[in-house]
Amino acid sequence: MTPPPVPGLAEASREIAAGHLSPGDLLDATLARIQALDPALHAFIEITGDRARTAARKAEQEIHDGVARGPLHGIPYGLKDLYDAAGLRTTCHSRVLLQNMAMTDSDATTKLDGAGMMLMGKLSTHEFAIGAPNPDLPFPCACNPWNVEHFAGGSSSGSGAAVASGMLPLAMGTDTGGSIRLPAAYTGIVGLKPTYGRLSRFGVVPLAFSMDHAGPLTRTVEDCALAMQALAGYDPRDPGSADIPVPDYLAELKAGVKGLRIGYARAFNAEAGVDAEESAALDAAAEVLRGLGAEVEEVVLPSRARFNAAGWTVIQSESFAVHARDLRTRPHDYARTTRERILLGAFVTGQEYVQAQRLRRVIALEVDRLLQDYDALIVAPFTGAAPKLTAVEHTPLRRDQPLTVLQNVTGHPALCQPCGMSANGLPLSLQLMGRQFGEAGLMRIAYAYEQAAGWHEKRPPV
Amino acid sequence: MTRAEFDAAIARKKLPLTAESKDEIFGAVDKLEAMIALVTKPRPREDEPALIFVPGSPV
Repeated sequence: MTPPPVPGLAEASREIAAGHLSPGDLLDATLARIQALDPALHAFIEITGDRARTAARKAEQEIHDGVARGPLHGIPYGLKDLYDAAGLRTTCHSRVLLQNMAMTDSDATTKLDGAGMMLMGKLSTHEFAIGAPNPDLPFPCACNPWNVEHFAGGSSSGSGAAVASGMLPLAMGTDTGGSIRLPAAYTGIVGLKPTYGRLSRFGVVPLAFSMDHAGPLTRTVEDCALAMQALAGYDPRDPGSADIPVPDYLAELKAGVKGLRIGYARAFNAEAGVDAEESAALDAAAEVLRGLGAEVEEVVLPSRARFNAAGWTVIQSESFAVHARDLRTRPHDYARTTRERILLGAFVTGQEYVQAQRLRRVIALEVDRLLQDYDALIVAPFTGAAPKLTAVEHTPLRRDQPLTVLQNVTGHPALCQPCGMSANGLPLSLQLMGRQFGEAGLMRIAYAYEQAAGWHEKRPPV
Repeated sequence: MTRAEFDAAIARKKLPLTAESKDEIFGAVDKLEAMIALVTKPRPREDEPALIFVPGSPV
């Protein structure tokens, strides 16, 4: 019999606080779940059971001694293999970095370990967060726990698969064009790309400096708020970090949405080719929010062609800057899709890059103006439920670029959460986009929707 | 970009590509150029690039 899913952050926290669950027991349950499921799901690149065991013993001793590290004390987590953890390899799922031993911790590792959490391992990703689920990679690619023949989304694919399948209650991801939100959407969990600058990227291998974000993937919105409380804050080691006070993310989480104004970018569904199932699920989500007392009105976003062009011009150029030397000296250590996607950046001129950054500012101000009138926006995160792995595009410049790059272009926070199921049994997803540094308000709306709609209670058949 | 221009650019940038990769990337260059055309229209001088994000003046 397959061991049961491990509890989410809030549930585990309550159980540990009440003395009904010990970190050691939770660790055993987590390892059993991972050993049962991961051979088929391939979410983990490396499982760090010994390290977690040491952390569990320490947590148990501290709890026994009355040392309180907060609500995450004694709970497991995982890191996308772009995050450094001292003494472990950070491979980025690539042959290029197979022997890349981290000497220091990323800021996220420091904060989560400091909160008393237990690192269970490093999680699979698309190579350097831009590749595809190729066979020519050093580790297998993560599968979707709802159906292993389907895509788990990317690039934080292992993070999505691990949380959705109940192997972990929290996994860290990165998001340069949607890489936290898409795995969350495809696997039916919560993924938050915070405001640019809200979470430190120190110790995270970059893809595109001005577009990269760190963020959590969890099973529920409350879990997301707990994770954000531990992770958010200024870090002078990250040049993009914002020195802005961190609010209490739980304080207004359950305040409801009555009287809030929510814009629904409904016309974007047609512009972006969103399918009928996802469009209907978004319409239904808007109705749920309206029923809870929010005022929901249709709004128009900046054109997709413009924000895609600005975003991908910047990503192409910045990622080539990161990888140019290795691409010249050891190109065949990259999988073909990754290599070709990054090399395309060699054909973006300096003038084009600057023009893209100028357009980016214009688009960000347009969205800011929209958010003066609305507390949040509903924006489709994808065109429909997870495609089959065999249907995932491997071209250098994708025909079907993700819909999610807008929030990387503008820096606004955006959260994906489940909002339905497709006819073939795969999750549909709602994306909410909020004001700059407005994660608390965003999670308040997401929590109200989650509790009313109940889609977070659906579990994959694993 | 013509194929000759593309091959010259590859050589100038010292990118050691296989013939197969060259074909694949050349096949995407038209789409890249079409995408970039959307960002390169002239802008007023005061339109500064987005570099940092600050609350109230987000980029």
